[in-house]
Amino acid sequence: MYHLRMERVRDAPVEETVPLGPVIQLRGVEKVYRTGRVEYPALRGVDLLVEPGELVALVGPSGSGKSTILNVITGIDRPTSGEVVVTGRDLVDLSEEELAIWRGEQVGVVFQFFQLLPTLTALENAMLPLDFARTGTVAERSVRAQRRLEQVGLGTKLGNFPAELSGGEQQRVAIARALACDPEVVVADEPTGNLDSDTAAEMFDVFGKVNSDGTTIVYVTHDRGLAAAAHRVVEIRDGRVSDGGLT
Amino acid sequence: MISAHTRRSIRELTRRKARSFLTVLTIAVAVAGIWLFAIPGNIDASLTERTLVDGMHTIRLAPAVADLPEQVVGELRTTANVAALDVRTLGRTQMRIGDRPQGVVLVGVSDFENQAVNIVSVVDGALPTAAGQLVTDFENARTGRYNGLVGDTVALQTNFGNWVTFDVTGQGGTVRYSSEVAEDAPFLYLRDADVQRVMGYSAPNSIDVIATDQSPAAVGAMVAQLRTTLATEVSDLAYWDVLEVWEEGTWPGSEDFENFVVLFYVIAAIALLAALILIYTTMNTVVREQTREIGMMKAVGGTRRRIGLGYLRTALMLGGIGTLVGIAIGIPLSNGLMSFMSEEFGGTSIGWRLSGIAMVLSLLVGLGGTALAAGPALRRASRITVREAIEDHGLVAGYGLSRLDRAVTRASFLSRTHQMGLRNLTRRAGRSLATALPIALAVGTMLAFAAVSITALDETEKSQNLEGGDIIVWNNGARGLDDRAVALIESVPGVEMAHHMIYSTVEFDGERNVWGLPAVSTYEHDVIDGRWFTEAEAEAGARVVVLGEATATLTDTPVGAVITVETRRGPVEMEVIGVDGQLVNDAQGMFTPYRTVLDYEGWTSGNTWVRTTEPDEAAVDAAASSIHRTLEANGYTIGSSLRYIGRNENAAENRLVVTVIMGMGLPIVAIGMIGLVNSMTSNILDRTREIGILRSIGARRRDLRSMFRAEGLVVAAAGWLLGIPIGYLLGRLIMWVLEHEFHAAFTYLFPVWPILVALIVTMLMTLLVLRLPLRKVIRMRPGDALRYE
Ligand SMILES: Nc1ncnc2c1ncn2[C@@H]1O[C@H](COP(=O)(O)OP(=O)(O)OP(=O)(O)O)[C@@H](O)[C@H]1O
Ligand SMILES: [Mg+2]
Repeated sequence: MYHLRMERVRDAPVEETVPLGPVIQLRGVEKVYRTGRVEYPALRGVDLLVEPGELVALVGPSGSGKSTILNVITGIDRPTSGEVVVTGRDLVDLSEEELAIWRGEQVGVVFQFFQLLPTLTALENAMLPLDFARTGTVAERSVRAQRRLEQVGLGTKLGNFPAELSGGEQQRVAIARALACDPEVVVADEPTGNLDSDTAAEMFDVFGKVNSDGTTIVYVTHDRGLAAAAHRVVEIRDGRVSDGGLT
Repeated sequence: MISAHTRRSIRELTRRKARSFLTVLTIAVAVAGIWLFAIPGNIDASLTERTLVDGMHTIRLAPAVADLPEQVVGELRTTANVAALDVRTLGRTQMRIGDRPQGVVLVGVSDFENQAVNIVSVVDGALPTAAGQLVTDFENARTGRYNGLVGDTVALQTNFGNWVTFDVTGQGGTVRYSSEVAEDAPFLYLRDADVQRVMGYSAPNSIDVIATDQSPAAVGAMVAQLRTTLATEVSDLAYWDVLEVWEEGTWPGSEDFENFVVLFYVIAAIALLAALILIYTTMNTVVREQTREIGMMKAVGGTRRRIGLGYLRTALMLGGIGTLVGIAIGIPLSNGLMSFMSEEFGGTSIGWRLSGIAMVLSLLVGLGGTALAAGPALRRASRITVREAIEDHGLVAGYGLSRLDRAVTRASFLSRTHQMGLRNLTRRAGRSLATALPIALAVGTMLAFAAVSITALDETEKSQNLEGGDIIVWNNGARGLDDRAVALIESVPGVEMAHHMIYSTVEFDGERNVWGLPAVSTYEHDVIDGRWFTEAEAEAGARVVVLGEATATLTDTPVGAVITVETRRGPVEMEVIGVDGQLVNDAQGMFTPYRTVLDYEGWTSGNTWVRTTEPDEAAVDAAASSIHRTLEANGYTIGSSLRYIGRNENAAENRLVVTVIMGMGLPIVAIGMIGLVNSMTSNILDRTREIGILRSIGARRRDLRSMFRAEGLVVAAAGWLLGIPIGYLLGRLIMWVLEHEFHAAFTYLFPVWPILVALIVTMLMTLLVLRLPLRKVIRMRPGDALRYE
């Protein structure tokens, strides 16, 4: 594991250093959606700090802005105003291209729906971020991805296409893919929303293990039981953090 | 109020503007292509009309010289079935353009104010009103044969060798003669008396007649009556030329044109096919993309019928707009091509025309074709279940189940992005094929046309070089070109070979050109059956004949047969000793010894063909001048024409025809291009959500680019590959049609370089076409891409 981490650091730009402070800092983040002439403020000044190694659950009613916050953290969406610093990078300064590269190296994303690429096998899907980041040789990538898949309990279905996997299995591939690059931060939007409670619990074990290795995880859930597994629960209401935002 | 359901059909058009636009364009190009169907009919109608306006003759009688008193002409006019009759004087002499003597045809009109047949009219200036004036044919300038304008002067050589000057008072012509300019020589229209003065004639030599009843029997009876009248009334009637007959509905150039009509139909049909494939793909994409929506509509009570009709309405709206645009493009396109082509084939320009049939076909194809092509997609839409819709998350599942999918996954040597590109092709194999097909048709059409053009050019060049001779010398005075003249010409420096040659026309299952030649001549025959005539036969003027290949096949005459040909002095029997495979006279002529022709025609001498030692133009010019000086010093008055001028013009003409052919393929290429744009664009936009995911997990721009490029290039290459056999077979088909038209065998050429050019062009086009949609999705924020519907 150690030499792989070294490799990632070597690939990264020189000025990048591992931050000592919070790994995620949102300050006064606002996000206004414009639909035609109508403006809708989805986030109205979000302040959120997440320390390295934390396991944070975002909860709140539907439409409160949870997904929007995650998208801002991953740079998938840009805030209308406010400060977003993740893994020491000010995301506002990064171009779309730089964001893509940064995500590939530092952030793992898990969506609610499975979002696997249908033309790639489980192993290939899990390898994809490594391919994009051009990490090591193809054989090395394969070994790494395989280890991740074994970790999520899919060691026997490496060659299956998504169409040949169950919903829970697909979601586990998605998690393996999110973890492929040994990201600093993993962000998951209702990762178990489509799974039965047993499968959901199994998956959470994986999150727990990854987190105990030092990876920061932020996830959205509607499930009280799953939220309780977090170190900290952040509650979102009407586009604001109503509880647990600042440590 | 409009129902929400209807409103949806309309919004469908504006939601995907790019695709709606491309679909409309596709339908428009297909509809515009239909107007190609209208061109042959319109050209035919226009030129037939022109032959009526210009009063083109039905028949032309050409007595060598006939002194026709007014009273005889009056009598001829009252012959049964004669609708109109004019007497003209035609002559061939030299004009001077700069320093160069150039063969020219003079048409003498007795009264410019009262013309009834082959009516000469002017488009600029005025008709001659006094001696010493003439009209230059507008085709003279258009073909570059003689660029004189109103106000210029022209020097013409008289029968006695001196030169007289004329003023150009107008530019104009008449369909019968204008059409000859490109092939033959400049045409000038003078008063009858002027032509006779120049030529040294005492009377007109052409009787142009329009028949009321143009059926062959009625015309035949009329001709017989005219001949009888002439034979009894005119004492010094020398002999008759063979009749020139124009059947109803034909016009000068119509025969050549018919060869191209078949090409038109082939092209228009391919264009139509390509367009239908494209409409089919587009509608399919629309429906597949909306699997979820269709399911939702069903979930809220949409019936199969309602949903199907909704999409049909969308398709018909696209079809309707496309049809209108197509008609708007088609009319000027077909008229532009038409006037261009009619100038090429008929030697006259024609006005704009509409075509009722094209209009009806346009509506039929634009609306009916669209509905038909959309059919399979509509059926699919109506079958989508709510369950399928719920499971559709914008990413098509089900990959990896077919054998093809599995096979492609083995290409592990490729980079990941290339693998993904390749696998996407088999994931949507139907669509990939539907993209490749229009490309294949476009490539195939272009390759076929290139092959046909190259073959045709090659054959023409071959036959042109075969005709041999660099200079043709003819007698313009009292003294014929006898053996001594030929010997004198051969003694001129720069002349390699000179020999007698005579053209004659006979009837043998139709009118045929006969070339009278010595046993050895500049004509390089290619005897494919039997033999050529011998020195002894040539000397003796033996009644032997070598038939052109087409003559032999058309008349079913074997070597060894004895045939009877109708000469102007009566029937003559000849033995067929061989068949010649060259394309001279479209292989429809025949060859006999020079002396044989003199004998049956009752002539004493003919022309002389000269081959110079050097083929370049300066050497030919110099040799021609020397020949004129030498022969004139020895008491001969001659005219000459330089073959290279005609050859150059022929080559230019051929290139033009080839350009026209290539131009006709344009609609197909356009449809292929639109198809490419359409499928590349919707392929990329379709997968916007997928791109969002890729961006979320670290895909860079170049990763996306290389993925889609690999995909596009492979489809394009597949289209190209498929296009090669299509092109070969299509070219073969066209050549087969042309061979039947010409009754001669061609050597089909299918060279490699157009194939390579097509590959490069297809690849570059694909990369070009990919740029725009790729830029759009790459610029998209991943968040927007993920939310993209
Ligand atoms: N692209 C958009 N355009 C307009 N409004 C949007 C857009 N995306 C989200 N919104 C609005 O922003 C608000 C927050 O949306 P968000 O998806 O973050 O909610 P959420 O908390 O994740 O809800 P859920 O628990 O239902 O997933 C919602 O009210 C939603 O309507
Ligand atoms: Mg959400």
